[in-house]
Amino acid sequence: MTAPIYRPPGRGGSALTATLLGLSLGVLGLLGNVPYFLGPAVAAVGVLGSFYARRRRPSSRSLAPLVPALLALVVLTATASAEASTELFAGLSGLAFLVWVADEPTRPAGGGRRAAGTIGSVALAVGVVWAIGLGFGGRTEEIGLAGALIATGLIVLVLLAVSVSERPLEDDELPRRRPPPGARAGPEEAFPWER
Amino acid sequence: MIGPPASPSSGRRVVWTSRTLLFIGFGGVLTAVSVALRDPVPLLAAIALLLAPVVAGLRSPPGVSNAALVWEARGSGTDLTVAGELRGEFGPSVVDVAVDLPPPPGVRAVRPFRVDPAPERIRFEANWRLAEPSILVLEPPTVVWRDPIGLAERPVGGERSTVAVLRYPSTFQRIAGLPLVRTTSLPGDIRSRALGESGEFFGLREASSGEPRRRINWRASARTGRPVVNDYLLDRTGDLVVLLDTRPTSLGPALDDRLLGVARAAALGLAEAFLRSKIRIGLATYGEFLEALPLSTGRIHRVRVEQAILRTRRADVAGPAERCTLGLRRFYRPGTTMLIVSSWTGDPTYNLLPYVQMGGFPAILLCPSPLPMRAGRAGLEPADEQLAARLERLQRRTVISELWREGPVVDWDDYWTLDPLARVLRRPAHRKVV
Repeated sequence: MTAPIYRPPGRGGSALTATLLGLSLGVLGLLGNVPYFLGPAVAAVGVLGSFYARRRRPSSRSLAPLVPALLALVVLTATASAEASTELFAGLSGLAFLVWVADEPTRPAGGGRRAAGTIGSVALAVGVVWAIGLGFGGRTEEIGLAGALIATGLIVLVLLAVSVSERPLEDDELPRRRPPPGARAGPEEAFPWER
Repeated sequence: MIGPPASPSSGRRVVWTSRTLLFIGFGGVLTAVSVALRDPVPLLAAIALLLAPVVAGLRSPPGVSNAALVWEARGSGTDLTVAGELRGEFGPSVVDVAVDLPPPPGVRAVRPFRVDPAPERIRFEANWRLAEPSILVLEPPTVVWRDPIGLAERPVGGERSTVAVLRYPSTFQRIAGLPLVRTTSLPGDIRSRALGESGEFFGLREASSGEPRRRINWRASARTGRPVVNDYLLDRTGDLVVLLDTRPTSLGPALDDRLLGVARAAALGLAEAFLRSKIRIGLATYGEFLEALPLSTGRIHRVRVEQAILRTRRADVAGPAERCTLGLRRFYRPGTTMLIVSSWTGDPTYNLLPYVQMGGFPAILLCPSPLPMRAGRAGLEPADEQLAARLERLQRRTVISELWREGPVVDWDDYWTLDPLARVLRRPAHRKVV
C-alpha cells in the first residue's frame, strides 16, 4: 500500500483557506457601505456558517456548506460602492471562495494546489476585467465593457468545451476509404494501402 | 465469480455537477444585481463563479479516459470482501479519480471503503457483511475523474464486468432427500444417488443417536453386537419447477431487491440440491412475462440454471397471475411439482398459487417474509420493538393461514434454513393436497 493521502473525514485542512476567504470578505465588508461594521459581521457569519456546515456533514456532493459564504458574497458585493478597491476585493473574494471550495476535507489533501490551473485562469480573467475597469472611467461603460468581455469569453470557452468533449469515432465507425485502383486487401490487413 | 463483461462506457464526455448549477445560479444573481444596480462590483465576483466551471471542464486530463477493471468477491458465510484493481494511465491526476462502490441493499459495510491510488493503478477494497443468504450481482464501481473544485466530472470508461456473490447455507442441500410427487411414468426412470428411508436397499451402517427404531436392522444388529440401520437408494421419480416471482410489490424497490436476493439463493440452493439427486429441474421467472428454462438435469443444466438465476432482475411492471399460468402450460407438462418462491404481501390478484394449481400444477408457495428485514427500522424502544414484531408476525400468520385454503404455504422468516419447507414436504397431507 502506498502512503495514505486521504484525510480522515471530518478533519480540518480548510481552516487556512477559510481564513483567507474570511479576510477577503471582511475587507470587502469594511470597504462597503454597510453601517455599524455590519459588513465584517456578515462576512464572519457567512464564512463560519460554511466552515461549520462542512465540518458537520463533510461531503463533496453536499451544496449546503457553500450557500452561507455565497450569500455573504452576494450581500457584500451588492452593498459595496463602485470603487477600484471594492472591485478588486470582490474579485479576490470570488477567487478565495474557489480556493476554499477546492480544499475539500473529504478529498485528498492539496486540492487548492491541484486546482491552481483552474483558479489561475479565472484569476487572469478577473485581473483583465479589473484592469480594464481601472483604465476606463465611466460606470455604465465599464459594466458594458466587462459584460461584453465576459460574454465573449464564455462563448469561446463553451465552444471549446463542446469541441473537446465530443466523442471520438470508434474503430468500426471510421469512414472506409475506397482502395486505389489495382490494390487488394488481404484477410489479415484490411487496408494495407493506408500505411 | 466474474460475469460477462459489460459494454465499455464512453469515458469522454464531461458531466457538470450540481455544484456547477449552484455556481451558475449565484453567478447569474450577482450579474443581475450588477446590471440592476449599475454597479460593477458584483460582476467582478460573478466572473469567478461563471468562469470556473467552464475552465474546470476544459482542464480534464485526457489520460484518465480508460481503465481496465479486475475485481473479485471473497469471503465465506456472511463476510464479504470485494477487492479489485483499476489499471490505466492515470498519472498525477490519480488523486482526483473517485472510485465509488456503495453496498447493495441488505449489505452492511464493516470497515470504511479503502482506496489505494498509484499513477498506473488504483486498488480498492470493501469489507461488507450480509444480513441474509443472498445471490447478488454486484455492478462495477463507478469511476469518475472529478476536478479539484468539484465542478466537472468525467466518467472513466473501459471494460467492466459484474461480479456474482453466491451465498446460501449448506443446510439447503438437505432438502434433496425429500419425496416429490411422482411425475415419471415408471419407477426408477431417474436413478438417485441420495440415500434415504425407502427405495432399493443400498447397505448397512452404524446407527447414530436419535435414529428411528423402524430403520434399525435387528438381525444385523444382533450379529454385530451394535445397532445397525438399513440405507436405501431413494426412488427419485419427480420433477420440480422452481418459479421465481420477480414482480414488484408494495414493499418498495429496496426491500423487493433484498427479498429477490433471498429468493434467488433459495432457488439456486434447491436446484443444486435436487440436481445432485438426478432430479429434473426447471426454472421459470415471472415478472411482466414468463421466462422458462425447460426441465433437465446434469452439470451443464446446473450452469444454465445458475446463469438464468444471475440474470434475474426485479421487473418494473407486474404481470397478471393468469398470464403466468398460460406461460407455464406452454413449457411444462401439467402435474409437475411447482415450487413458487414469491414474497406475497396480501394482494389477492398477486397470488400465483390458485392460478398455478388451476393450470394443473401441484404447487407449494415458499414465501420469504419481509418482517426480519424490517425489524428495527421503526426506531422504537427494544420492548416496543419486540411487541411490534410479535403483532406483525401474528398478522402475517393470519393472512398466510387464509392462503392455506388454496394450497400449502411456507412462511419463510428464518432465511438460514429451509426446514419449514422440508416439514411441509415430509407431511403425507402435503402429498394428498397436491
